[in-house]
Amino acid sequence: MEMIVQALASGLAMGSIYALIALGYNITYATTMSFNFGQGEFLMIGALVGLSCYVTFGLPFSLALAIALFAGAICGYALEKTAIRPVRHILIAHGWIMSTIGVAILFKNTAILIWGANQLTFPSPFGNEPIRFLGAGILPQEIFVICVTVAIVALVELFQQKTIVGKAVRATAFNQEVASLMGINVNVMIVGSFVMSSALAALGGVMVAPITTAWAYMGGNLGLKAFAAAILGGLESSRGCVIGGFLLGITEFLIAVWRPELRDFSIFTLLILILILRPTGLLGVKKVEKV
Amino acid sequence: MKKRFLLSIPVCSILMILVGASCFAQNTIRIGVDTPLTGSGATAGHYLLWGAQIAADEVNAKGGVLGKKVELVVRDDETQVQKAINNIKELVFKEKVPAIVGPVNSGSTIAFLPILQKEQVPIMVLVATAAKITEMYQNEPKSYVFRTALPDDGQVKAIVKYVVKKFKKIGIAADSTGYGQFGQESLLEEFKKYNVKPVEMVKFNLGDTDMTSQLSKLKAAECDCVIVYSLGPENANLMRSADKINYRPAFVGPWTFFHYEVSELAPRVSNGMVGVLSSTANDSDKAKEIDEIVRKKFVKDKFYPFTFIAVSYEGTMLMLDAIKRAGSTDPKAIRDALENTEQFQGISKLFTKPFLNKDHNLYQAEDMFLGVWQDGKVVKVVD
Repeated sequence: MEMIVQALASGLAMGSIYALIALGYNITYATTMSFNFGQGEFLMIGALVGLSCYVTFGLPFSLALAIALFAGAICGYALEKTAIRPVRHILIAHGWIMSTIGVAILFKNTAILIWGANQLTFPSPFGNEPIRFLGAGILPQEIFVICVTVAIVALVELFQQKTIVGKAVRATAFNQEVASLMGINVNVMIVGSFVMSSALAALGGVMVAPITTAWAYMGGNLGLKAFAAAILGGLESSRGCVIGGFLLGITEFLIAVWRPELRDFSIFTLLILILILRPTGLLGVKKVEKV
Repeated sequence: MKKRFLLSIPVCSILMILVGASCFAQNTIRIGVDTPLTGSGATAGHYLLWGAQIAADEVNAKGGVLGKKVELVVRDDETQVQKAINNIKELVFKEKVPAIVGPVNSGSTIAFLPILQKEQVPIMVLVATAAKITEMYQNEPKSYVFRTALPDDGQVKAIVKYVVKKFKKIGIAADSTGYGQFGQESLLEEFKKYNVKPVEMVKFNLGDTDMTSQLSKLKAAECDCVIVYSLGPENANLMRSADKINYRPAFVGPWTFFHYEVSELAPRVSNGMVGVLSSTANDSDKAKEIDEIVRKKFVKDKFYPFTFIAVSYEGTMLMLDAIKRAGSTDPKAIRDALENTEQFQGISKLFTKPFLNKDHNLYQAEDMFLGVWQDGKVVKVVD
């Protein structure tokens, strides 16, 4: 039926965004056993900065994308400096949970001050005409999102497996103390992982905004669903997080075909079920790797 | 001994200044305003505030009310029911305002009306439209609820009258808030009078950006007309979703079809959308004057729905006029003065004894008409 095709198409697109954010959760969790609870707000920053660049200043979309990425990276650096580094040694108290939530609230309210509280339209650089495919309509922007996400995920995978720096990141994730004994600058690795995950979220924001509209409140729900995706796939596994993201997106939209008002409810029910039945997530078995 | 004496001088002076300052502060007429300035209802919330502000400024320019300046005490309810309730409690018990104007959301209004009726503080509802709002206390000897917003039962009458003439299979898409659900109830009640039943009804939440599944259901039921009952952002997202699945029935809705977000849609998507209006910026000289102020201070060249500003302005003017006629800031006296309003010169109409009818609504069904989007502009529907 065309409804199922429509659900699959939109679900894949939304799932790509969840996958990007979930990958961000994985990167920082792997290196520091902590992550940014306000990841959704970085998505929002990317979306709004991208909107200002593209619409207000009239810059070409690729430049707006790059600037949004850069903005995300800078905010990620600031986050690590202010909310992660000072509380890292208090790991048992998990101080980073409170501090990252605090930073998230700060960012959201600053965004409201700068961009207002309304939903802002982000015209897609690929036009608003849906492409008809097997009875369903898919926006060119959605195809763009899926392609870019697949490319980015492949790049990150390549980076982690094949480059020396990638291997250093994995070493830090495996055991921080031994890695530093081996001459790896652990601090740089940690800062780098936060910068990368924030940049990924910001990229996701610019890409999803033409589909969902950009507004200061967009981060909360998306960040939470991406978190559910990461748990679903397994926080420690990068492949798990990405697969979890796609899976969650498709499930969400398929359930919406059946009963639209149960959409959010069913996702979080699924999350609870996974936590009960398989707490480490679908792919979250800790692998022993030789670095 | 000496030290304590010396200390008492600054303390006494500060106390005197504070007492003096508070006396000074009483020299304004304070009206409480509860409106959403953030969240889904923010766009309408700002229209409400602008209309009220324009009215207050105009009255102040003419010397104020009872010799004092008018001051609006504004609280943001963030489009949340609980926050609206808290705001009303703060305005009534802490700020002790004699009258309230606002808000936007019907769900919030219905939730806090009992407080105002119990504390006997009058409210002029400026934008919330659910029929229940004025029905709640209309059989009591003294209802403290008044409204200038276009009541839903009137909007619903206009919508249903138009729709049963032209379309065979009617669907309803309503949001899950008090506004959407009570609106749907009112629609169903009105349809019964014509012996018509909608073939499919779907629901969505505030903040949803994708309604393709709900629309697919309506498409499967072969609806040639869909009545949409929600706010601006959701209306716009629904239209975009319909465009995605290439579903082009006639879309009809209440006055929220003229919210700003709908004006941002590509004309290809918004063309043919029919909504309810009560006034346009060209209706009279006063209308043009207000339109100029709004354009200069707030929106410049952007589109905005004139009706929202108009009813907020008129409601605030009515409240201030009632305070003048009551001759005091006693809430009970203000309520009585409101109910006994003999005549009110609205922006484009003269109203006679508007609140002596039972339901305290300034606008009735016959005051409303329909408008349609054409190439990004709103045009009156001519039958």
